[in-house]
Amino acid sequence: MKEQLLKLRDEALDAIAAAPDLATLQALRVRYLGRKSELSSILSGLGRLPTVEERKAMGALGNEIKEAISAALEAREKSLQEAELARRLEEERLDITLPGTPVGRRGHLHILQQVITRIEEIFISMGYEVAESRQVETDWYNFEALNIPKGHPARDAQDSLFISENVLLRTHTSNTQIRYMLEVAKGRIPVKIICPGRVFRRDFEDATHAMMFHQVEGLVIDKGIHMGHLKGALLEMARGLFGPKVGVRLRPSYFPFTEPSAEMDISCPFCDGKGCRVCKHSGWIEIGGSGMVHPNVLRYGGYDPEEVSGWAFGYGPERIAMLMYGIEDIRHFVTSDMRFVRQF
Amino acid sequence: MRVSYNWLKDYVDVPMSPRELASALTARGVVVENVVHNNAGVEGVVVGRVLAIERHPNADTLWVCQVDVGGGKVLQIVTGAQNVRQGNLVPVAVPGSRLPGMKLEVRKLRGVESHGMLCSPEELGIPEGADGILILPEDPDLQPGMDAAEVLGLNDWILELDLTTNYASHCQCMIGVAREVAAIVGTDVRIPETYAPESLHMKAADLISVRIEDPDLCHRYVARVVRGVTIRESPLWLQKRIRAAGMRPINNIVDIANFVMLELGQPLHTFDYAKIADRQIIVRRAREGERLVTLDGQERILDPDMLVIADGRGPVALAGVMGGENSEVTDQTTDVLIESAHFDNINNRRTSMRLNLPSEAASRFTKGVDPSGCVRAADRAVQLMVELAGGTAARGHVDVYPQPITPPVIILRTDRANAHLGLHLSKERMAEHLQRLGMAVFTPADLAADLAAGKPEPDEEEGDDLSGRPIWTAIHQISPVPSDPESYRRWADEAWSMVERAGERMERLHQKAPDGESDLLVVVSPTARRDIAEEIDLVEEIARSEGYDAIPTELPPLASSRGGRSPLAEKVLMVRRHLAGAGLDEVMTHSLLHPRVFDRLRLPADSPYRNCLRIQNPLYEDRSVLRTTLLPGLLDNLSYNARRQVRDLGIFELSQVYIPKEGQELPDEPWMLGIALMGDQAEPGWNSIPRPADFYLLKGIIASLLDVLNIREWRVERGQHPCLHPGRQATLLVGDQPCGVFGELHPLVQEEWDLPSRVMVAELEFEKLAAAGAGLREYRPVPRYPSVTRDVAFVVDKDLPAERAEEAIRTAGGDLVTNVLLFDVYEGEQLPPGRRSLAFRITYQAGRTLTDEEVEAVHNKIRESLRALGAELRS
Repeated sequence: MKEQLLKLRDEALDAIAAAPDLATLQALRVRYLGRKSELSSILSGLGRLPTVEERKAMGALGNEIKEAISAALEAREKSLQEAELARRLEEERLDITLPGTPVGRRGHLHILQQVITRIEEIFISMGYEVAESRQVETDWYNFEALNIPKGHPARDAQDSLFISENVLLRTHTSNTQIRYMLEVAKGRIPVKIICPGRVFRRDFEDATHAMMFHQVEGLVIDKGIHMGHLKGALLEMARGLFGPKVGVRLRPSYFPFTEPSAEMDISCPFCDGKGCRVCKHSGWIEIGGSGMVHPNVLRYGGYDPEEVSGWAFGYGPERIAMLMYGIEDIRHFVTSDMRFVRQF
Repeated sequence: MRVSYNWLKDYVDVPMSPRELASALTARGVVVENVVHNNAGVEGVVVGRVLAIERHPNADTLWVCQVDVGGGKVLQIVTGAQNVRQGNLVPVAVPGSRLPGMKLEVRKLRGVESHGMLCSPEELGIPEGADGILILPEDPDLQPGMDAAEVLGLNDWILELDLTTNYASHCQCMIGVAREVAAIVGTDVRIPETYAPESLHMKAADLISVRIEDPDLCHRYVARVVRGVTIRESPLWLQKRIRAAGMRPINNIVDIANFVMLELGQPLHTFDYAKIADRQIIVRRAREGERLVTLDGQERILDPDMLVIADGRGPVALAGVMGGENSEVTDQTTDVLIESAHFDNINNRRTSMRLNLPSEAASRFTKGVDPSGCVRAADRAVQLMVELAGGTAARGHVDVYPQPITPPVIILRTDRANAHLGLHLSKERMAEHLQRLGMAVFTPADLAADLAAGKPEPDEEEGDDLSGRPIWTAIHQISPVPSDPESYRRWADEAWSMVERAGERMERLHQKAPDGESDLLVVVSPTARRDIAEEIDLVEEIARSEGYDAIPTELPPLASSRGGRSPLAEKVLMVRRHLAGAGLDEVMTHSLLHPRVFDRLRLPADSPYRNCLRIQNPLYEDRSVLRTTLLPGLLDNLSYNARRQVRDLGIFELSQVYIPKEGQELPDEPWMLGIALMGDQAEPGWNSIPRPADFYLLKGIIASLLDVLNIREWRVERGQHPCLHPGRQATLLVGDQPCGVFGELHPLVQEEWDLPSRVMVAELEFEKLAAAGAGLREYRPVPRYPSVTRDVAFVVDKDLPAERAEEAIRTAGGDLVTNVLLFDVYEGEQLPPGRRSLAFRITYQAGRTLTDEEVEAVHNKIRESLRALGAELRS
């Protein structure tokens, strides 16, 4: 019996060591340790052994062999599992250079709206209200109340698109100054508004001229406002858009609705004012017009220029966007070519 | 305006370079656009005298000249010009000299050696447009051998001014610019002397009478007469000035008129006195259809909105715009009538624009001319004519001045000027700035003295008594008294009213602040400064004199105000961001459209969209009506992109349309949201699943944005929009209010726009949506007990809207049903025709743990209600 058992053990251990996969191993487990296994049938003959000692010794050997086979099975199973995992992992290797799966489509906000929103945010953070008014406007709001009487060169017929003798497409966002003063603020101070919107000119269209474009108007009215405050607000805006190193300057100019009037320049953010192609080697870039609100405009808006003063500015966000990104043609904004829109 | 640097030095010391001057002027608001050197590359060219001229032996059109070029040298030069005569002084480019773009050498022309060339203005870089060689005038100062560039004034700098319409009025002439320079430098302007001897026996008033019939358009008319002039070329110095200004010398009389205009800013006109009928000038509106041949040879048909100068027969000039041929000064003219007038700038501008007749005179009148300067300008012209044309001046002027324009007297509160500018300038500093600009500055005590002395009574012999009247004296200096007694009376009334008004203002200020007079200045401003009428104008003058760089950079010490957007603007921004997040690209399309778009959209004749605003003066027809819908702009964008190989796109525009309203002068401008989808909406990629644009994708986008806007109660109805597919369109209803349409574009409209695949579009009334979603979201407590889900699948008629089935489920389910999800829709071969299968997943939930029996009971109720709809249950 002993020989029988030892032979069985050797045979089982050899077979386990040679088992190529987990399925074979499972069959071996049944074969060598199952209820109908050879081991069981050998050990079932224990009772027929003559002596108690013999029965004990053989029983012990039988158990020893059982454990050895069992341990061998465990060990083999583990190593087969490891090999299996390693194989699977190897098989599952990916081409990590394939493009990633799109997370839906990314849409794009129009770059001009992005710039306008950015400008709004800068002013909102300084306590300004965003105000809008109408685009089809009467002569009074677009000209008269802005100190541009009939016959003034600033209202050249060729510049405006008329709906009727008295109604036109606004030529600037300055009409919002008057509408806000009369319809919203009604004499209250402070007035602090920023007014973006579409404006229209009767202009032949080319790379730098559009019949429809945008303006952003700023207006502040309060007691004790002076021209230095205009410079301060302009500086904040310029730095918000172009970074902390940018400086500003005002140059004397003329607009009917402000006095004193000024052109607003920012120091060129592309060369830090040293002079480059963008600023035509002057170190400065013209941004738009500004000035102290003309007393007549305050009066038209229902404010007493003896009591309060204010400043206003206006400029084109298209120009800002063109500067920031080096966009070469103003027509891109309205054409909205996807190859343009999707770049931003 | 072109300003010669050298010429400017005649009137003011300029201790700085042309470029320094340019930046100093620009910093004051007199913008110098360009500084150009007047010499385009002329070097070594000399003055020569043509001693002899004969035909070229081998060429009919060439001449061979012997030219004295100074220093005893005579050169043989061949020329092709036909205007050279023996004895002429001409510029000669000798061998070794340079002209713009070339160096001169000796060369042979048809076998004859030419030692250089005679020069035309063009060859010297003078843009004059005259043919032939530039013939220099006979002038005692001019000798052969002199440097031609120097003689012609080429060694000069020209400052090109870009004048705004306020300072322009006084910087349109050399004296005006000199005034600004003097203010920069801190020196005085040298005003030219205008004295000329006058004839004792000939009086201007006897030679010409002037009548102004339309004083609203002609405020002043000064006439003088010079007799016995000889028309000839102007001396070199005058030609040099005329050329520096970019004009062409004509003859002494015309050049003098132009010179005076350039120097003093007053446009003059010269008539041949002999051609003025009845010795009279009538300034009046033209009669309808009246004709005048202007100096450029064009016959002009006039209308009563145009002002003419007429004589006893009819119009002889278009006032302030251009003279008439019938009264033109020619070589035969001996007597000259000089007109120095002041015309209404608006009317003048209109006439000049209507006739498309821009002129130096019109451009000056348009921007504004000093009415006080008429007499001085006429006198200056007379002086020069006597001197250069050998004439005799008739005594005196005719000066008709029905609408006197007198110097404003302004009270300046210097404290207020400082407060306005953020500066701390002394009163003295401000006074200095203003005085340098030609203003007279006084104290309140001076004004009080003038007022106390009362209005002066004019004395025709002695003139006004000026003693003890500092302000009246200044007014006299700035605005010389008209010699005509009637004109004087009007002038004095107007001038005194200015003083009185200043007095009244002083009184009001005194009442407001009885001790506040210490900061006041009384300023008399020259009439040349047409832009200065009130205090704020002086504040501007002080600001630009001190320099804007002196103004500090500060933020206002405002009580902090709450900034932000309107609720509507907030939602506009929120939805824009949401739609971009949902994969749509934002576009911007034009507010102005072609009127034909309504036909292209297949809109019926009575469609409300056709009620649009039209531009009365469009530049392009495709930009001539204001949009009433965003759709055409979006379709244009799709088609534009499709033609550039971008055929898969989803776009939106959130912007305004323009809706005319009965009984309203101005249209409504409501915000609309337009969406358009075409082609595959998935981001393309090797493993992406195509998402073709279809109705349900668009509906899903709309549902998501309604959710973002916090709109719960909405539904759709079949729509009837004419440009949409009749079976694939819906009207969106929020509450019971229609808020827009969406659906598939009608195939014929798709074809009209030449779009490559089916297009989904939506146009929603954004303001209604924004209003509907106002308010806070409704909160429900987070459930504490588990939910139970049950599916139900059934076959029904295809025509039964899925919404009806869902309603039936919710109604039958009552409060226990918290969610109903349609998760499968199937139509196909396994089903009878006209039927389809729907499958819903129902979530049951309550404030307790539901038992199977409870759920089963409700679920059976639901099944019953579905059967009642004709459903055949499959589970």
